[in-house]
Amino acid sequence: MAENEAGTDNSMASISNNGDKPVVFDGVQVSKGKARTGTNSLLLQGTSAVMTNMRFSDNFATIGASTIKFEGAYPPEYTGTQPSLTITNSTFESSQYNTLGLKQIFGAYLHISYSAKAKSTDYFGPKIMV
Amino acid sequence: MIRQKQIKDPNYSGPPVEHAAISIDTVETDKSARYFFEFRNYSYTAPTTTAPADAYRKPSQFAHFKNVTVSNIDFNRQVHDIPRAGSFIRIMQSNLLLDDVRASNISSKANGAFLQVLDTLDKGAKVEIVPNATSISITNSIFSGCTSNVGGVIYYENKEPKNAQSMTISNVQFMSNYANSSAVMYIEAAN
Repeated sequence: MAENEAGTDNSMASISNNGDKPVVFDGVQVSKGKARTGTNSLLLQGTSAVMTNMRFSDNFATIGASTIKFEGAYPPEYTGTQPSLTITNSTFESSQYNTLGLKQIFGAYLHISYSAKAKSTDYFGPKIMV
Repeated sequence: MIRQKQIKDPNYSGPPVEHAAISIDTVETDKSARYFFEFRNYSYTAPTTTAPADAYRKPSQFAHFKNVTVSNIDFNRQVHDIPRAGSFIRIMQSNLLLDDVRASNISSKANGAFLQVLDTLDKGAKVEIVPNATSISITNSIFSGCTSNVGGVIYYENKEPKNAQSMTISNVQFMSNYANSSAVMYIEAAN
């Protein structure tokens, strides 16, 4: 994906999935995306995702996360499967503003096993696994 | 100009089908109606009051688009001063295969300039939901210059939990698409 542009948020995609099955990405290249007045290349809301061999480069956001915003949707008392994000063998480079952002996390976790060239990352929220 | 050729594909090599797949090999247009293609319940035959839920389902039916080039469509029509923006394809509870599609410069003020996926076609419609009725496969394709409100290329809103869903996108390029929100795709699914 290249040079896709959103007037507000999500120059790549917004995904919200109430199920337990993770969304699977493999070998996707996302470059020069622009969230004109907001955040993100990719917004994940209450959604688990597994990413391998990804490359995010030169993405732009006015505020927040330039590349991925990961929002948990479930309150602490929820006993079902919490959303998770696993990123393996991927690169984040030359993006403006924070590369990853977490918001409204209640038990959801982030797992990055290998990420190279990340110039700027900002993780916040509980139960984060890196 | 609208020139459209719809045939039964004699060279179809995808999953086995009980009914003929749909193949569009030539689409040239500079203007269209609200939706160029619409599929309702293209994965099963109509239920009866006595049949069990799976008895009438025919999951091997697919709407199959292969080697389609479509460009320069503006869906932003006004009918009696009412906006009638639409999409190139709209489906509900259908199985859709897109292979070797080239879509460029498709514009809509609605959601998903190329593809809209909905659980019900009409707000408030009383539609019986059948299980396992929606799947989408997009392969070997390029989408560029598509513009819409939400989900520049694809808008997927299927929140019916009984309707098991899948979407696979492989070897596809999305370039220079635009939306007010979610420039390439918006997905809100139940499972």
